[in-house]
Amino acid sequence: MSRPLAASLVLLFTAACSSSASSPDPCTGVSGACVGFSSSTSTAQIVATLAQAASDTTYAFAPGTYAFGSNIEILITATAGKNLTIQGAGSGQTILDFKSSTSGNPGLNVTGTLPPPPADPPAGSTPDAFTLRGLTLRDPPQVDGFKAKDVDGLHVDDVSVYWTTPDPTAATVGTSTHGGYGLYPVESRHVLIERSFTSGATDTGIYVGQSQDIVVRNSEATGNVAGIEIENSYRAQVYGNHSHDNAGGILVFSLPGLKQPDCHDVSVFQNLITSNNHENFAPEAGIVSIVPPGTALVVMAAHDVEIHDNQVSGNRSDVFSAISYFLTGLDPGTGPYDPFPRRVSFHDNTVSNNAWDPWTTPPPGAPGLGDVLAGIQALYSLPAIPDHIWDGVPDPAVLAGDPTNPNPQAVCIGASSSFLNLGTGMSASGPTFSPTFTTTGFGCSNPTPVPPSGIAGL
Amino acid sequence: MRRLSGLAAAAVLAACGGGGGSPAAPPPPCQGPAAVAGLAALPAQLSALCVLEARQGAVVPLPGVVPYDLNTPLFSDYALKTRLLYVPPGVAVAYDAASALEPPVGTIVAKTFAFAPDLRAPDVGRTLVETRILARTAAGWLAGSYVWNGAQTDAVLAPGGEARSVTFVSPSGTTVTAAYRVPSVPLCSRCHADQADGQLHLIGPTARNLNRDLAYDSGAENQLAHWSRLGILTGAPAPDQAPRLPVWNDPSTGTVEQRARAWLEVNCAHCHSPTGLASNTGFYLGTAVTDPYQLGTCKPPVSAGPGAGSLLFDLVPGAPDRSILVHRISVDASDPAAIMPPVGRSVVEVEGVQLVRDWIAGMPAQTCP
Repeated sequence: MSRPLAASLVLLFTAACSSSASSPDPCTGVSGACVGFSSSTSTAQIVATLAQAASDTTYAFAPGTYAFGSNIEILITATAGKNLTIQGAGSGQTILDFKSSTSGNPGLNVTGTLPPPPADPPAGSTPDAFTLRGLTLRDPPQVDGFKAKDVDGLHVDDVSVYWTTPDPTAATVGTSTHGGYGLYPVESRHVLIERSFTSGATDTGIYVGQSQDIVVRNSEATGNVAGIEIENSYRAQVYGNHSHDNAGGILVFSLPGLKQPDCHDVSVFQNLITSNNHENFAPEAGIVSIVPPGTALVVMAAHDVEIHDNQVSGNRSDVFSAISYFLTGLDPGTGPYDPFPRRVSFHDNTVSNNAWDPWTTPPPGAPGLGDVLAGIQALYSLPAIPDHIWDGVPDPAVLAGDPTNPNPQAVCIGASSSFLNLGTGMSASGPTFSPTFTTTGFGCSNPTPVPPSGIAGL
Repeated sequence: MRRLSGLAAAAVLAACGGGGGSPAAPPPPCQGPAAVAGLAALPAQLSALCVLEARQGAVVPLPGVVPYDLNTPLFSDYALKTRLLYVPPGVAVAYDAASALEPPVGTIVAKTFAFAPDLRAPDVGRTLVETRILARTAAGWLAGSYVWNGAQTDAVLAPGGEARSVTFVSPSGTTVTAAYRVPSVPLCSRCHADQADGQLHLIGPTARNLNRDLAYDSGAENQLAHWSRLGILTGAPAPDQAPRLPVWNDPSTGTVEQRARAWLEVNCAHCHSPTGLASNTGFYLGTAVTDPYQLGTCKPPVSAGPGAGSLLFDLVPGAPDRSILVHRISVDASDPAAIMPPVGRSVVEVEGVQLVRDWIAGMPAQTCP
């Protein structure tokens, strides 16, 4: 697979190293309190300094490579660590290297103390105001690159996360040193990720989970299992990104049993979603392991989702899917959980050269969605699987009130005529499929999702 | 500019006291435990808190400070622990049947970690490594750990933590080398912080876990009764009327399930709870949890990533070898993606793992989908 950006980054690193001898003061141009680090600063001292990060302070790294023997822990409390900026000279120039770290914690691990939100908090301030800018986290410990939990006000700008060891394969995933997530905000609010890059994550490159008011834009994810995922989150916009050469490009998932249930009001637009044909090297337990290589975008069990004005090409298995959790075959548990997609709109996307050869599971793996699609393609002699897929599992409660509704989950494909209803049924021996291709009832549109609120700079 | 190698480095060195720079002035002689209610930061030297002294590797509480022990302790690489509590005069801890106790402003909790060459003879050649402090100020708990000096005369605050290799013979007679880690201040909070109020809290000292006898200088006495008699605990029922957490390795105190659940609560539930650091996992291990799915039964992990190995579910009844829970407590620090807990442990507590295995193996078998 090709990684054009990764290659160009390598060149930049070389340039950065050769010029680091005369590196300027990293605090130059910083207003307010600033603590500077140079590549001659002991990284143990950097870890100790950041462990006690003060509020209203910038910690600035000069260009260079910094080799850490442990991970970096940062704590935001009521009295310390507020309005904190960690910055480098640019993702191509400041490299935090964790290859020698023995920690089992994320490379840069930020924890706030966000009290649990009400179900839908009003727009408000972003009191933590944590910024990570202009640096690379290279070979972070096997878990994650950058994790932020319980942070209100998170800005990630020009941050790269990648691993220099070869990508895992299905055969080596158990011994791979790649981590699960590249950029990983969770249970956070007011999250802005932009101009960033992730590659090689065994789960997801840019993953935002159980959070609220989110923007992921103008970033690149490649060579991950999933490029970008919004999971159990509210009010998210994903736009201007290039997600390519992952197993799956972009996912919008609601999973059961989580503290923040449900996933809604998500807009995915003006992204470039191309050639996501990488082998799926996720550990089998991870939900992303169900994604067939060659997948562009999947919405699972989320509601009020709008997917528009994206350019999608070269993904071999499937383009746009709206599916229920039932398709995973997993037990959703007994807690409150809505397993159905609802009000999912696809419109005005530019789709070309996709789904010509759905990925089939090599023996002895259990058949997955790719196998189902390949079977349908063969059965109907299709040159390619249609652009839009609904799994066809209706919510019985909707049908009870409207028995003849052909589209009980309000999956809308706009003016497109390229549609596949899998007609999934449940039997004792597993799912059955009765595919149909009629668009009748699906040429609708839904209300636009609620946008994120309260993010500075938008 | 303020490059760290200048100003900030000097500050760090000063904080490290006797580590090589000019030592800080010795604290004044103790006149009772320090008043911490108004502290903004912990003092640089442990001796300034006036809660304990070290004598030949033993921790000796100073006057007014009460030792305590727990039915089921957190595992910390087999470290030997001495636990002390100081509650100022005139205030007291309110009894709580379920949650960790919330001692009043002014309280100091000191937990000292030590090793001996052969833990089957824990009092021979004992070396103090660190003393972790939680001090209750008017603004909440201050947390930090003090690392003992080579002469074992005092300990110095180590806000960034410290790593050290420790070799010993374990209680079961195995030679073990641990990559022991003194926690940094943020690592203290990873376990002690609670999302519900954004504050730090105690973890171990629930009344249930304290409900046991201790050999005081004055003789053996139940700890809840002793604290009540001293006036530092109010509202506690008679010990035999109060719930009691089983002793994880004493079969006379509970069934395998009860003891395994106690071990899991103490070692895991500070994070694996709806308001802990692992709240996002939906996998909760407090003893009060009854929902099988929350306990991991046939539940796929959410964010385990490579930590799950090749396994599919957190807990598969009847099948410990198929349960991610067992896998993650069975690996050591050589598998950093999988090790649980990720803070505070580098080697495997084989005896605790066996208990959890026994619990899961004894469940009616289920085939998870």
